[in-house]
Amino acid sequence: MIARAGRPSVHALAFAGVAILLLAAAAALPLDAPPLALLACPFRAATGLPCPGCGATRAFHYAVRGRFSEALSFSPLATLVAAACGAHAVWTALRLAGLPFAPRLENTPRARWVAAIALLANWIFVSVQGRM
Amino acid sequence: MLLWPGAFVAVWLEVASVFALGPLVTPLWLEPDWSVVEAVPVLAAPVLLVCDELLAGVPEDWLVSVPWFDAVAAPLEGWLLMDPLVEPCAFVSVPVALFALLAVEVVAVPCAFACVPAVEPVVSTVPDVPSFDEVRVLLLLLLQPKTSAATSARPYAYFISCLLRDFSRRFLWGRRTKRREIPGCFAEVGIAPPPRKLLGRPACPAVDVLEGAVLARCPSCRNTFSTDRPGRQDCPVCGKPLVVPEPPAAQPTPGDLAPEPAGTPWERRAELGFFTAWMQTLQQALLEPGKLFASARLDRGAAQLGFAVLNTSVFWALGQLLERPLLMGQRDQLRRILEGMSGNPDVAPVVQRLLEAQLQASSPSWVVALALLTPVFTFLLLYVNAALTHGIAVILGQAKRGFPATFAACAYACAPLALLAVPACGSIVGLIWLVALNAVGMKVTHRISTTGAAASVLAPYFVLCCLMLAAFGTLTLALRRAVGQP
Repeated sequence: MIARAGRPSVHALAFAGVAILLLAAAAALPLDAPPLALLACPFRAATGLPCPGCGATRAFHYAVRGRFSEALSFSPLATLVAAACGAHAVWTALRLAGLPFAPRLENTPRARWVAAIALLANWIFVSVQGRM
Repeated sequence: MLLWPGAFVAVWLEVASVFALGPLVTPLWLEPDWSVVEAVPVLAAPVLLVCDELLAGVPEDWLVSVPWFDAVAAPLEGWLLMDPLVEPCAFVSVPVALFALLAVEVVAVPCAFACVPAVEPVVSTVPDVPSFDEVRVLLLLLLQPKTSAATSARPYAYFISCLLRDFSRRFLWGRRTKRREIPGCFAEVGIAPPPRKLLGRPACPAVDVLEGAVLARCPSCRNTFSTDRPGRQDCPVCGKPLVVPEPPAAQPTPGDLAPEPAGTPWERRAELGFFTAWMQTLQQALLEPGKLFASARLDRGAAQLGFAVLNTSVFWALGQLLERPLLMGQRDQLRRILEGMSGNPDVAPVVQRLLEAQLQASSPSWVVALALLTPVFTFLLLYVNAALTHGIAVILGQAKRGFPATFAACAYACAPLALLAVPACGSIVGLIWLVALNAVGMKVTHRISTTGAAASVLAPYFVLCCLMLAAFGTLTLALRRAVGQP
């Protein structure tokens, strides 16, 4: 939902900075080199199952490079988050430039259920896909 | 009390001795009237005060060694105030004094006491207080014929509710329970008209309780109910469709009516001073976290971010400086081991590169670069942590006051990272403390339950375990490339 808004808040600006940092790091990241290549998920090491965040690094990596099909195959939710990071950074820049609108997320029970189901579905997808 | 029978046996023996000795003894306070004494053939205590002049001519050893003395002294041990060998004049018996005053009373009173059996005294007890159930049943019986008159039953119901509340408090061992009541209404009695139950509809809890954002009244059944959303919906009581209008934007909510907190010491550093505000905030975060989070203002996100970044960066850098000299020997030993392993061709190339990275990480240039980038890492991880915590809180329905409240909790929860200055174990303790403090902060800032706060805080770490490592590794690699290392 798009609503009228003033200048971005401190948190909106900070989130834009975090998004830019994450996307920049993902762009400069070689996946097959240490230390990232040496990192292992503790949850996966302990249980043999991927955690809900597994595949997010690779999804960010491929999403930044525009290879969305590969990104989606690793983690659809992380791909969406990467896209949201980019969109938020761009939108914040536009708001700083004077755009008087901002997206507004409603905290409704339906939205909560959708988020929970999306998180669970992504976890199931990552577990079934098993591409890590 | 058990001494009484034995004492009066001794009195009998003393009487016999008096008859045998004649005027050898005399009372201290009365002139002896032996005619009266001899004329009373009843139980009478002897006059046992021995005067010196009356003892003239009587050998002292005879006085203290005669059989009557032993027979009297043995049962009366502890009862008679006597020490004849040292002070013969102190040979005093209290019952004897009573006898000397009034013979009838002396006879009557000991006889009455002698009739008392020599048993253990029974401690008198307070009559049993009626139990709680008895009181409740009694009050319910009182209340029963008056149920039709709610006004007359109100005092009884109030008393019962107080009893029940006290009982439930004891049963719950002091745990507070959520009060389901309408704000501003009389909630002690809890007499409320029950919702009408319709056939075929499941029983629902009392609907006139403000659990959602809006308290609405059905135009059909006139019952009130709370709802989370405005718009078209069905009445939970009668089931008829209705439209809940949107509340006016300018209408103040109960949260807005609450007094604005004064702010944490760090948020008031302009008036307290920089260092004082920092130390007080640190002290409150570590020792009085509830007070700190309750005083946090949600519109001071920049100040909270500054506290977290500054606190973490300073103490991390301080820890690095302290750790290098303290753990230098251990690092040198590890370095020698790694150098030996790096030359081994059997070690996998990936492991060799890891060992090389470990060796490079201990170089001074690397440490300085990490110290300079610590604020960036802190900023990044703080916001990632806050975003994930808030996301989980939203999914669980615990985000009552928006992202600023979550951010305040996460930012001030970085206070235990001051333990990063402690070499070796400081980081582990600090991280565990951070998680606990984060939960406390979520509970206070969002005004949610302990369970909801714990779930909101612990779930992101479950999700974050991979993302945090990946982010740290990414930035580490980027830094290595920036300084020109492969």
